[in-house]
Amino acid sequence: MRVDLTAGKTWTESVGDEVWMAFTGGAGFAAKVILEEATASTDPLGPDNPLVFALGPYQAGNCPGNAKWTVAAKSPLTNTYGDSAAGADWGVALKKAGYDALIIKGAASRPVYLLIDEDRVELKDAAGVWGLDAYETVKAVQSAEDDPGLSVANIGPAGENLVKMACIVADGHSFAGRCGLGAVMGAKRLKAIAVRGKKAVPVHDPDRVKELARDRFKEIFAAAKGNGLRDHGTPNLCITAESLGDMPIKYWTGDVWPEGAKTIGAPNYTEVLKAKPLPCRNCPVGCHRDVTVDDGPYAMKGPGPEYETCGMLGTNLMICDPEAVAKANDVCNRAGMDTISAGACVGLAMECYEKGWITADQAGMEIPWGDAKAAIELIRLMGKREGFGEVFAGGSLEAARRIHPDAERLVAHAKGLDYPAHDPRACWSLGLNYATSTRGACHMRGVTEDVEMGGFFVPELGIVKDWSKLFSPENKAELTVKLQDYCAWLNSLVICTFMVDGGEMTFTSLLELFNAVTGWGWTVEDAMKAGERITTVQRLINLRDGHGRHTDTLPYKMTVPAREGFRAGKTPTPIEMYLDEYYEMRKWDAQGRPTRECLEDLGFAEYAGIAGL
Amino acid sequence: MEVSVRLFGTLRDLMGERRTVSLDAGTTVTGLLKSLGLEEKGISLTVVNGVQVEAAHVLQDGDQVMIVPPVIGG
Repeated sequence: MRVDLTAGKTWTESVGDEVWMAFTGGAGFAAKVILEEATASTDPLGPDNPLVFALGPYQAGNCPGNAKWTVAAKSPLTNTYGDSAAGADWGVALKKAGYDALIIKGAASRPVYLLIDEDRVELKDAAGVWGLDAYETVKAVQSAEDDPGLSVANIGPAGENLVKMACIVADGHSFAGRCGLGAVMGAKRLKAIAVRGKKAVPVHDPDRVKELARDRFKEIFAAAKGNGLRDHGTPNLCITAESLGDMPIKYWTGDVWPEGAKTIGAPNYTEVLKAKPLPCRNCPVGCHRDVTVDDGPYAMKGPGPEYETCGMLGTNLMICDPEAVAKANDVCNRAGMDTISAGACVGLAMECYEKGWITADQAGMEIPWGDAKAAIELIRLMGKREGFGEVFAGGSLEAARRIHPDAERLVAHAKGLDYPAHDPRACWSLGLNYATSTRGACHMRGVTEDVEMGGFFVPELGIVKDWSKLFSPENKAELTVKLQDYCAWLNSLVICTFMVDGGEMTFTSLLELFNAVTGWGWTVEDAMKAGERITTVQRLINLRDGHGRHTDTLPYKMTVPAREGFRAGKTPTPIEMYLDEYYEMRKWDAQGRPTRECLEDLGFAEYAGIAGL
Repeated sequence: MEVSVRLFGTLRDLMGERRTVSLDAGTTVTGLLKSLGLEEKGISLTVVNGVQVEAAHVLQDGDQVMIVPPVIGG
């Protein structure tokens, strides 16, 4: 469906099978749209930036882990391709309403929300919900439409205020956090997209899909029970990650904090926060947590912090009280802000405060390491763009440039996107993965750290236990290329990565299900070729927007070795030891541009001009 | 000889976080895992004195051993 918010019009278009066969859906389809319909000069917060919500073949049927949906646009943080994914109910509801994607352009003159009730589509006045937080908005829209079952994706006040780390929130439950796409939605004055869908989605072989989905569901549930993901969620990783030097401590300047990780992580997290699984629709893993803090300054109830948030709003800030981190997470969620980038901003503030580059007078408060109340207050101000929070509303990199001439090198980022809570000095492949990731620093489009830590393998790609080698450059370029392409395909399918990484669904099993849904008869090679095609299209957008080898880099902090702990004395430097091999494997030139041979092989000869060929 | 063992993830939940294990001289990581009733295929990483080792690594008296099962986090 196309939406022109400036004109207040919506209409549907058919997309040819050849497009789905080439790009699969999701992040692949969105990248094609952004390559073709945006330019280097498209302002991420301007009306011409296409905001694309895209589903894939996997949203058909009751496939396990199919609640995912992808949103993409030019990111206000990186000024190039950005995407993010979330779950809950929304993606499946949109598919059942009869749509594969929404392409939204223009900007409304006043706040609106989009109501999609299968074939009835309306843009409705959002004056009554503008200003509400992301949880309140769901209930207000459901109430206005008199349907408590309506699925609602929306922005909170941070998106309305064009905070560049604003996220998009689905059903008050799951968060498309990264790349600031909530600000793109806010710039279009689009508060929410509410969906009602009950149509059956046709699949190639319904009986086979049903049978395979049921079997995979049982297997994935057993795997997630076995590795603790079901019982403790992603906070189960905290203690292990800290022990291996993988968890951020003191905004990437600390080396070890075992007591901190033990306090914030499971099992203490599970006990203190009375955490229970909060599964998305059709999910056998249930990694999300529903948590409760009954009373006190951190009282809250709702979705709890993930591992990433325990890292970025926890140990990253020298805060380990689970109740305090749950509250900081809740404030971010309600404002509609990415907890990773918000944590990076508060970490930067605390580090600059320690250096004397920020004073208590400037900030209106003291911001020492470990001060949870100060962190929460700064997050509140960031979401509102008020007071000292306004300094950080443009993200960590913009804030650093405003704070001090030397502050920029404190920011751990790739292409403007803050590092997530996995340290490349512990898992060296992450340095290359973050540097080359098409949306900036991202661990989820490679998950190479899980191979290095020995928890995830893909035998169909030759990635086996022998590849679990920490502090060695061996295989890292090949691992990164293969898993980036595999994840690019997963993100286009669109499936939750935990079904394969954690849920242990094999590539072969997944293809069996995919082929039962599509009837395409794809092999591993077909899927990997699609993944390569998708990665390449996203890379072409990066190149067009001014990125390349000069931004395929590691931030300063990743060149500083730990003084103690598991990764003492070790850094993944110089990045050139993998980067040239990575480019060569991808058939890219020394500047990181796909060669003509590469483009022709992928059927992209017409894009040669974008690669500067 | 004795080695100190630290367990992670689901192993920690099942067996406790730390224990001291008495072994015969020359015991390998495989032997240690067997003495703990653990299967090699269920272990992601074994770290001895801060260094990742293979299953055939021969342990020494006083070694600090970390045993990590598959642990996933997003």
